[in-house]
Amino acid sequence: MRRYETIFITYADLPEEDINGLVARYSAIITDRQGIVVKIDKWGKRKLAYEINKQPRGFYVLIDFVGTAAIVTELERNLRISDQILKYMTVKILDTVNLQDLEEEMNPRVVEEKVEPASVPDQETAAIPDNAEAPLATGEGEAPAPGSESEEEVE
Amino acid sequence: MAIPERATRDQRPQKKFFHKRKFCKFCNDSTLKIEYKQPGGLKEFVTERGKIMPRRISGSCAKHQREITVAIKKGRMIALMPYVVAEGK
Repeated sequence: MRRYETIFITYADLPEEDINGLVARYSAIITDRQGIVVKIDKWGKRKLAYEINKQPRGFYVLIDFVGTAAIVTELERNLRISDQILKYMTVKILDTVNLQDLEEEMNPRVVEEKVEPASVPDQETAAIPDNAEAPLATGEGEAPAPGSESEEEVE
Repeated sequence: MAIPERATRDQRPQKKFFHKRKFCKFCNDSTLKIEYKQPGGLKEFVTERGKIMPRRISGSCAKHQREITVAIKKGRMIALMPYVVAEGK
């Protein structure tokens, strides 16, 4: 199981329901094949750096998921067929996925917001999403680490 | 620069331009990330024409330059960065 992210661009003037339908369809492809959809991020309308199909702007959607190569080929096959997709791209983020880490990344988002002053559990959750920050977070005090990380996310 | 003024030397005007020491932006600030999804951060490593700037101009280190080029190329693929910027457009 690997971690991938797929970005696809649809027409900017597509109605909201159609975009939701597309997202549902593609996430179903992933979940039907034992993949896990980690995050769906609708970036919204953006100006394209160059015209695609004579379109100056497009609607970007990012799907962050965990799955196998078979899922990627199937997903890309479907994206290629669809008329509503201007362009798509899949990027591998991680070669191996630790399911425990993944669960903690997906769930504690709710917990993190609620229990921010709590020191010990927060340290763990803060260290997991960002591996590069982990030694720093453990080395210093517990309280400043989550605070500084959330600031980075805002930027 | 390092050579002190010599009285015997004929007084040719010294070259005026001053080089600001280049440094790698990403080595300096470890919180910065090279991400193809943030074209704003990559804009400064690209010329007005959309070409990737060489290391001798941007000043980034070899390691980060490699990451920057890959990120720019990914951004180009998904229309976040331009392949070319046409003249007069």
